Amino acid sequence: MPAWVKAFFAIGILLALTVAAVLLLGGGDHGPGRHTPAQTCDDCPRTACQWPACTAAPDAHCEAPCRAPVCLCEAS
Amino acid sequence: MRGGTRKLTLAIHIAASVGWLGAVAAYLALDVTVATNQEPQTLRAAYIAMHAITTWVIVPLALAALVTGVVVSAASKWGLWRHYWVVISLVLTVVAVVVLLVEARTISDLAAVAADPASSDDDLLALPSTLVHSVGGLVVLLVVLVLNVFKPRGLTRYGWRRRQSEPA
Repeated sequence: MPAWVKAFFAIGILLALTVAAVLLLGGGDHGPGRHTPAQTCDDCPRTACQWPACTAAPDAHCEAPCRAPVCLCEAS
Repeated sequence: MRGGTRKLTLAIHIAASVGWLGAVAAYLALDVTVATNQEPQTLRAAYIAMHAITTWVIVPLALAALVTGVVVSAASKWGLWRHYWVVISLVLTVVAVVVLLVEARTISDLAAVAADPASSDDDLLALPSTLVHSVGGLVVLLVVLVLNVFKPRGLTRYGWRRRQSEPA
C-alpha cells in the first residue's frame, strides 16, 4: 500500500475518532434537530406548538425537552 | 461503452461535479450569512434560499455526480476498484452524499420555521447555522477533486491481480 494511502487512512481514522468523541461528549444526539437549542418547557416559545404538525391538536402543549423546529407537542 | 456515450457520460459527470462544488460554495455564503446576521428578515430569506439550493441544486447534482462517476470509472481503463485514488474518491463521495441527504432534512426543518409567518424573531434568531457540515462538505469535495486531477499511483490488491491476469 502506498505511503499516501496510509497517511490518508491515518487522517481519516483521526477525524472519525474526533467526530465520535464529539458525539459522545455531546450526548450522542446527531439527528436532524440536533442543531436546535434544547429548552425546558418554560423556555419553549409559544410558536413551537403552532407549527403545522401540531395545529391539529388545539390544546397541544410543549413536552420537555422542547426543541424547535422539531415539534414535540402532544395533546394534553 | 462506446466512445460517444462514454464522452457524453464524462461531460455530464464533469458538469455535475463542478456544479455540486459551486452550489456548495453558494450555500456556504448563505450559511455564513445566517451565522453572522441578526436581522430576522435576512435570516428568513437565507434559510428559505438554503433549502431551495439544497433541494433543487445540490442534491440532484450530488446524485448525478455519484452515478455518472461510477459509470465513467467502471467503463474506463482506471476501473472502479483497481486504483486507490478511485476507491477513496468513491468512498468520500458516498459519505458526502449520505451526510448531505441527512442534512437536507435538517435544512428542510429550519426552512419550515423560517417560512412560517407565526415564527417570532426570537425563533428565527434561535435557529442554528449548518456551517460545520457545509465547510466539511466543501473540504471533502476539494479533496476528491485533487485526487481526480493528480491520480496518485497505487494499485489495490484487486488491481494487481487484474494486471497479472491481463495478457502482455
